[in-house]
Amino acid sequence: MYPYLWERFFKCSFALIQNNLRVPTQVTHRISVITLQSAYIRTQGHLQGNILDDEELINTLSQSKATSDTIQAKVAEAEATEAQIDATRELYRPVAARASLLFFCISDLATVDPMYQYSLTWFCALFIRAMEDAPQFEDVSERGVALNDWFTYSLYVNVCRSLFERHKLTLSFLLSIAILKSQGRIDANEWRFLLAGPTETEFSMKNPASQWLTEKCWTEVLNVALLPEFAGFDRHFADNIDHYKACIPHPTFLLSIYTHAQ
Amino acid sequence: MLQSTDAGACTQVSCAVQGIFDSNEAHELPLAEPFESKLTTFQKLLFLRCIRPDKVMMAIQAFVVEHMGVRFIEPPPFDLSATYRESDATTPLIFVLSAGADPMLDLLKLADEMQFSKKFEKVSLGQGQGPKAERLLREGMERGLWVCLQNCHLAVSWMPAMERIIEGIEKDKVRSIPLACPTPGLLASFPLLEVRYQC
Repeated sequence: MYPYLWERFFKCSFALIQNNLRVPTQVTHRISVITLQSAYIRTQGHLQGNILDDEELINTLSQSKATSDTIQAKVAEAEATEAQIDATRELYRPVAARASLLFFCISDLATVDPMYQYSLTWFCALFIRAMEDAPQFEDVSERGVALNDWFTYSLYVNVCRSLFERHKLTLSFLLSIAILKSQGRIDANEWRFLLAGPTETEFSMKNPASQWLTEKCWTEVLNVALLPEFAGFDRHFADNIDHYKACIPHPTFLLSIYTHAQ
Repeated sequence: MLQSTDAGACTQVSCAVQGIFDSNEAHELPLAEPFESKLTTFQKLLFLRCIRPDKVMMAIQAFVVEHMGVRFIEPPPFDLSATYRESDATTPLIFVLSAGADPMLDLLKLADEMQFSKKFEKVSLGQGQGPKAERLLREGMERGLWVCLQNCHLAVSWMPAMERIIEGIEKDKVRSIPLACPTPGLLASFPLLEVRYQC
């Protein structure tokens, strides 16, 4: 499904640009060359006598040669233009990739609420509109970045319109995570931990501040320390317990002050 | 009012108050080194999840602002006329309403602006209102009216009939857009085709 969508957006984005470029039809040129060559061979079949006396033949041959040369030059020019178009096309791959990514991102919204279902037709129409409205740049790579930014925001605005208020931040978060994941900047295990939390319960290290740190919090700290980027975090947390105490509201501490004052 | 003659207790009070005050900004509190420099903004979300899950939403907002920009946490207010311009004769507007929300005033205002005030028909669906709604929809399609169907959640059994009518709209023959105003709750029974375009 993913490669299909990607190709669709790629062709879509490129078709809109191609309107400004004229591609000479090489096929027509090649047919002309073949026709001329066939005429030449047929002419040769009718040869009688000294070839140099046949004025008509010589004229036909000269004409054929001249036309053939012109066509060859045009074909070479067309091939050069096509190569240039192909190179330009390649620069729009990131645009197609981003569009496909965003489509699957908003498809996931259906798990938040089954009401949130968006058709591909609607999405494509939005994409085409973004292509037409986005700012123009001479430099193709700049245009690619501008297109991605424009379309991402346009999608956000249009999808937001159909969401309950409480789900709008979820949408922005999902969009940002999807984009960062595509750039390889989000670790899958860390993402899973953020969403689902601890999986292990058996640990040897004891809670360093059981008066104010709940066992639940301590278990979460121990589990997060299992992730590679958080290696040693449990020991670090215990060693810097006073610093982290400031994060946690401690009503029991306040209660002890009340008791003391009385 | 806390009172204490013990200087040590005063210090303790200020520390406690300080700690509680700081905890309001827990999502911005720096970690101790080396983790403060080592962890990315995303990884710091995991840390907050562990000890202050109530602050994760605020931290997510800050995260989105950092990576996408502030406009992604400020959804623009609902613009009915822009939504209308983007819809067409075969795609109705559906308003999914929370308790107390009523777009009728905005609809009437838009109708006035678009000079459809005299061509705006509404029917509140309920017992036996199905045939009336059907008649209005067909009339609307022929004469070019705006038809507003209110309280679709009260006419669940009529929804399939409405779906057939909407699906049968021929684009070239219809000049206006039917509108429908259901409420959430019973959306499971709302025809799937409608869900393509929402407000």
